[in-house]
Formats: sequence, structure tokens, C-alpha cells
Amino acid sequence: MATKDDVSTFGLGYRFTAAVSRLFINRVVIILTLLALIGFFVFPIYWTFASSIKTLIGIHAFPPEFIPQTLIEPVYKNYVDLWTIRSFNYFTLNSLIVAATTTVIVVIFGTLAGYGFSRFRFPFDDYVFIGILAARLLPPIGMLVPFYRLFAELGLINSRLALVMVYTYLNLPLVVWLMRNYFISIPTDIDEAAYVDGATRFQTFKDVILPLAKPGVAAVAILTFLFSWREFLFALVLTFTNDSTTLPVGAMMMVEDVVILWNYLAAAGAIAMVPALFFVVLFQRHIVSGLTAGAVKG
Amino acid sequence: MLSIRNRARAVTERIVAGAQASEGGPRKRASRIVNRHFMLVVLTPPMLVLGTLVTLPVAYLLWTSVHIPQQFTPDQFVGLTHYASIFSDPNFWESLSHSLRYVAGSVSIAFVLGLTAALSINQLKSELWRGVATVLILLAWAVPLVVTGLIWRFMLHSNYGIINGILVYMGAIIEPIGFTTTPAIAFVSIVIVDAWARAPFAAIILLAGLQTIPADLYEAATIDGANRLQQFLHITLPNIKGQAAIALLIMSMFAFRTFSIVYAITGGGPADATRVLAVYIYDVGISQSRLGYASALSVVMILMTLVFVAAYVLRVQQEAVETEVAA
Repeated sequence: MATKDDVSTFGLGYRFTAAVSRLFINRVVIILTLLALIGFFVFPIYWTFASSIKTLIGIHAFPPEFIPQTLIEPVYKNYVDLWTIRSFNYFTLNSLIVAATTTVIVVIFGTLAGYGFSRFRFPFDDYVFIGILAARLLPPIGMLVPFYRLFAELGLINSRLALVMVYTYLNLPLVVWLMRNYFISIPTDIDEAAYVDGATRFQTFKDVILPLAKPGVAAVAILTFLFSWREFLFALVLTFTNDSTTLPVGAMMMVEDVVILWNYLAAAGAIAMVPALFFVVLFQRHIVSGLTAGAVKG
Repeated sequence: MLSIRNRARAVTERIVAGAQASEGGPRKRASRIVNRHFMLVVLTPPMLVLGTLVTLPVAYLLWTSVHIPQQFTPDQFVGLTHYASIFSDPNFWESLSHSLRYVAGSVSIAFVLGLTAALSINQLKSELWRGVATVLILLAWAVPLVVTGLIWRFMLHSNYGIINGILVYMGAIIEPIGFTTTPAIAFVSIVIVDAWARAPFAAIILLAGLQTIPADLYEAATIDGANRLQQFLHITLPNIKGQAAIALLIMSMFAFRTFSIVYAITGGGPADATRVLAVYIYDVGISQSRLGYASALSVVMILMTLVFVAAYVLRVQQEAVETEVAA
């Protein structure tokens, strides 16, 4: 038992660490650290939006205009220009179609497989499951060449279908994994109770278990949409024209001009990230639970 | 739990009542088949889709890596020639060394940033402010990686970039620094940008770990006279060891495959100083159309990643076993 008197018998080391820890527990220090970190993480995003409503002169102004002053007339002109003369209307549509289609496919198949893996045993099921986990962790760049050749031979280069197939490949393993874990957290007693009461297997799944798994389904749907929305590598290689090019590639196109129009570039970046930022603000809980479950849980 | 069970029972009763009302007919026979083989019904379609999407490209990758692909005639078999030439390819070794330094730099910076963020957010008492701080940090994670690269390319620009602008304005430097045009500095730049994009993930995972530590551990330690630093070293760190390991592992895996950020900021330049393995594969396979050699490089890269994968699978498996025992 330590009493107050014992403290004086601790050595210099203890007093030093105590002083250090008083510094780190100081509320002001904590808040300042947090504000500095938040500033570091948020400023580039703010700067994108701020630059996207400036003229090129405003972009090049020295000292830099932290609060945009040399605004373009009207303020949304950069966005309108991208939309009307830089094909961003097509890019946005392509991004939406590809991400939404992928999400629907991946969520349906992922939920079915997740339920199957959580409720049934079959020969070598553990190995199949580890295979799925491994498939999720393979680097996408490693599959770039074969997918590229495959789609070239199938005549699917420059199609949204090719992107949907690749994004299904990229996201389905993670979703199977997450949904399987989610279904495991729902006790099998509930299946059995429903079954005993006369519900069929299918009804048990559709009407009893699936409603309980709604938060999990929401989390994987959001993650899949975000991951498909942001994908760049395959979109860069597999798409060429307005028929299939997505927003991340559209944003990159702003660089490939001889002169980089930074205000267009900022507006393009803003368009590409707005839905993602929106999702984070709205569904923070789902995203956090999806990320931590995907990383940590067995 | 009781309420869930009651709800489940109520739903079931409704289903059974409905089934009795509409008995008989071919629909019933179909549903009987579905229900008898329900495992096959739920598992077959996803496994077919996933199986096709995994095995087909993997097989094609292996095939291409031992051939010289031809446009109009059958591919020309060359055996392991591509693999052999990897070892004498100085560009490969240079890219690999860039990748490894990139992973080490980015992951350690991201981990420190993420841990600091998680610890300070965890100190906030109000649930609301904790949520706000988490969202603000998570925003950086949500930005598409290529946009992350483009934003920073803009901010690091030697003439118009705001970072040079601030430094010159404050008088810290006279001439703007070539953050993306001087080889050695460019490498440091992309590593820091990568850490910016990666740290929020670490923060989220570590914060989840911190929140599982029971408060009475700290109370007991305080009563026993342990100061905050001792509490951090002997309570906080040991309790988030698992999360830290997983976060480091996953971040390393993802940093190793990084493409978009590097491509958007430097494209691998200047003078190949930032060409990591993924960018090299893209250069060889797509820009130079040497599909056979790029496939061999891809196989080698996948094999290297399998080390991480094995470590991860073992870790996760071990945890699954532990939870089974606990349950």
C-alpha cells in the first residue's frame, strides 16, 4: 500500500517522469496537440475548396490568400466549366453508375456468402475462407496486367462493365469477411428458434436474421461504395473516353495539359471528394465499425 | 437479447400463418428445394463469382509471366526467362529499395501521428467533441488517393505552392524549395503525403483499442501511486499491443502497393527517385507494353506480399481461436 509519505522515497527518475506526465495530461497541451493535428489533416481539404473558387491570378497570389479574395465570377464558374466543357458530367455519371452497381452486386453476394460461412460447415471450409482472406490482401497492381489482357481480349476495354467486374473482385472478399463476422455475432439460437417455430431456412434468413444484420449491411455498403468511388489504378488503365472514365481519372487529366490550370484541378479534386467527405460526416459510426472489424476481428 | 428473441418469434409466427394460408402448388415445391439445400443456395453464387474473378486473372497472370505475348499469333513460350532477368535488372532493385524505404518511412510517421491523435481524442471527455474530432481526422482518409496526391502536388509546387509561399513570406527561405523536383526531397515529400493519407486509419484502429481499456485499471494505478507516464507505459501500451500490431501490418501492406499518390505527385520522377515497385510495374506493363516481364514482376511482388498476408492470417486465426476459448 502506497501512502503519501512513500512518494518522497521515490527517486529522481520518478519525479522527472511525473513532471513529464503532468505536462502531457495538461488539458491545454492536449487540446493544442489535437488542434494542430486536425489542422494538418483538414487544411489540404480546405485549401482545395478555397482554390476551386479562385481565378488563376488568385491562385498565384503572393502572399497566399488563406481566405479566398480574388474570386472567379461567378464563384462556381470553375465547376460549371468542368461540367460543360471538360466532360465532368460524363465522369460523374460513370463514377455513380460504377460505384452503385458494384455496391449492389457486392452487398448481395457478400451477405449471402457471409451468412453461409457463419452458419454451415462443409469440407475444407476453413481453407476456402483463408483463401478469401488472402485474396483480399493481394496487391491490386499485381492483377493489373492479367485483367488488362483479359478485358482486351473480351473487347471490354473502355467499358463500365470492366470496372464493375474489377471492383467486385477488389471488394467482395472484404465484404464476405465482414458479413461473416457480423452474422457470427448474432447467436444461432435465434435461427434455431425460428426454425423450430416452423419458419423455413430461407424465411429464417430473410425475415429474422437479415433485419438483425442491417447495421452490418449498411457498413459494408458504405465501404464498398467509397472504395469503388475512389479507385484510380484500374480506372486509369481500363478507360479512355467519356463512355467509362471515372472522376479520379478525370481529376488526373487536369494535370496532363501542357499548362496546369490549378483552379480547375482544385475544382476537379473537390468534385471527386465531396461524396466521400459527405459519407464520412453522415456515416462515421458505420465506417469506423467497418474499418475496425475488418482489421481486428477474427 | 430477450427482446430480439421475442421479435424473431413474432416474425416467425407471421410467416407460418402466411405459409398455411397459401399452401400447395409448384411454388411450394421450389421453396422446398431451396430450403433443403440452403447452404448451396447461399454459397454457390458468390463462390462462383469470386472464384471466376480470382482464378481467371491469376491463371492468366502466371501464363503471361512465362510467355512473350503476341498480338495476332499464339503467345511465345520463354520459360523462366522473365524471372531470371528480374534479378539482373537494376531498375527492379532500385524500385524495391524505394518501396521498402517508402513503407518504413510512411508507416512509422503515420503510426506516430495516428497514436498521438488517438491518445488526445481519447482524453476528450465529451462524447460530442470526440465524434467531431474523429470525423475531422477521418476526412483525410476518405479523400481519393489520387486527389490526395494532386492536392499535395499543388501545395508543394515550387512556384505557386502554398508551402513555399508561407516559407518565403515568413523569410524562412529565400529561394523556393523544389519539394517535388529535387530527387532526395521529392522522396521525403511523397512519404509524408502518404503518411497524411494513412494516419487516420491508424488513429481509428488505435482509438478503438484505447476505448476497450477499463477505466478502473487507471484508477487502481493512481491509488497505487503510478504517475501518468508509468500508466501509459504499463497499462495503455500493453493493452493496445494487438491493435498496434494489426494497424502496422495492414498499413505496411497497403503502403507497399501504393501507386496513386506517387503517380499523381511525381509519376516516379524526378530521375526515377520516387519510382516504387507499383509504379515500375505500371511503367513496364502499360507504358512500355512489356506484358510478359510486367507479369513476372507482378508475381514476384505478390509473393513478397504473401509474407505480410501469412503474418496477418496467423494473427487473425490466433485471435479467432482465443475468442472461441473465451466464449
